[in-house]
Amino acid sequence: MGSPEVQHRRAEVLIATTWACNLRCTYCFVQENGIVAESRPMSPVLARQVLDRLDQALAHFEHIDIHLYGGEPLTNLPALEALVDRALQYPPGRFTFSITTNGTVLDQRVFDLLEAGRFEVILSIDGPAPVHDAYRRTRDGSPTHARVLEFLGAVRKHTRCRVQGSSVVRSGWGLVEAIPYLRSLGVDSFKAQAVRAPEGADYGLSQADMQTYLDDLEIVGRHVIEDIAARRPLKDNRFTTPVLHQLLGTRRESFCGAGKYSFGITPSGEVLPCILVDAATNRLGDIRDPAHAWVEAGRDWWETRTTLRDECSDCRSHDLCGGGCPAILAVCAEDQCVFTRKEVDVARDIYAHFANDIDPLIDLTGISLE
Amino acid sequence: MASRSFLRKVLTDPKLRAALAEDPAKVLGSDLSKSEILEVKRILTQVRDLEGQIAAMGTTILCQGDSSPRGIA
Repeated sequence: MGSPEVQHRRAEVLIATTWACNLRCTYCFVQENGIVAESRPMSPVLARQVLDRLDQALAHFEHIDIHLYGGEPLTNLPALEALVDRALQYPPGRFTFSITTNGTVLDQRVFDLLEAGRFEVILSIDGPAPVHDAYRRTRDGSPTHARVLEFLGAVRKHTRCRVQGSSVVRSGWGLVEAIPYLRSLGVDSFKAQAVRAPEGADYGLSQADMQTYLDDLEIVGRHVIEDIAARRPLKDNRFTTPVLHQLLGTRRESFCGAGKYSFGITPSGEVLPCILVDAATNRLGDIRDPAHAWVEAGRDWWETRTTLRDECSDCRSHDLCGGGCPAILAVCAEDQCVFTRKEVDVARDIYAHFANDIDPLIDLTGISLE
Repeated sequence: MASRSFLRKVLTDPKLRAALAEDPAKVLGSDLSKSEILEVKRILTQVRDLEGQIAAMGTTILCQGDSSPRGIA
């Protein structure tokens, strides 16, 4: 029998090869942070070095998923090509690739790259043209929706990549509108979640919008129950993690694995627990440092996240939330907790629905009892 | 083969999993065949991997997509 200690097979590393972007989306937090101007894109030389260093430092993980982020990662194709080229020199499965993209860089090199790395593509598309183009525009103000649809068609035509559609819910564009739209695109899965908005932003959810969003989460939960009962693969996985925790009888030690099972790397090679947290206060080291240094610093950082925040001490959802996303809490604070609590409540309803016959939930684990 | 109901209990009961991991003979007795023990071991390993996957993942739109086998995110 194995050790009782949980062993993690997969590490995730979010790499920003550039903070630059060809769009100027109104709600983009990268633009707000003002980090674009002070950063140079990652060079192909550093990209190859990053891969080799990760292989050494994360030797205790079987697989490493490289998730390309930004900025718009496809605006730094040389670094991406270097990453994939280097990864292909390792045994199959050692590195896998995901990319979050705005889907506006239409170049055959892009589709060749996506196919070579067998990427999972997370494509940002908010809704139909009037909804999408209201906020997702180029630097000169041009709309992008038609281009994104063209990109999706090209990914389908030229690659075997899985595609996840991702929509930002905001004032005037609700969850129950976003989900059918994403479903209509024929993507493999989708995510639609509330915008991260600082107080006073015109795209942020009003109190009425927030209540609608919470009510809509219950509707989404009922659809998830129908899909699970019918043994259909879930396209919306927002409740899957808390449902599985209930099924396995476990609780979340922290909100995510940042610092221990996942890391972020900036264009200059800084290592962070997650690419989304503030670099100035959360830096673990540099990818060129001795590997054990930032791995140990990350573990220490993760340990601090398992300590209950004061705000969480009386929260009914802490066992399935784990304390909130450190990147989002810094911006959204209590609003984010309201959403998370509701998602946990709906996840409890889903689990309760199957409490007398858990076999459909066991399907979610991918584990066969036969 | 180990019964489906027993495997279901292994999957859903963390105390049973811990006991099996610590001293399987104490829990299973000496009546189980090699193939039954392997079956239980397989479930334990898969649950451990699954625990690792779901512990590592955040659930916000900013986090990763569906790279896990069953789309856990």
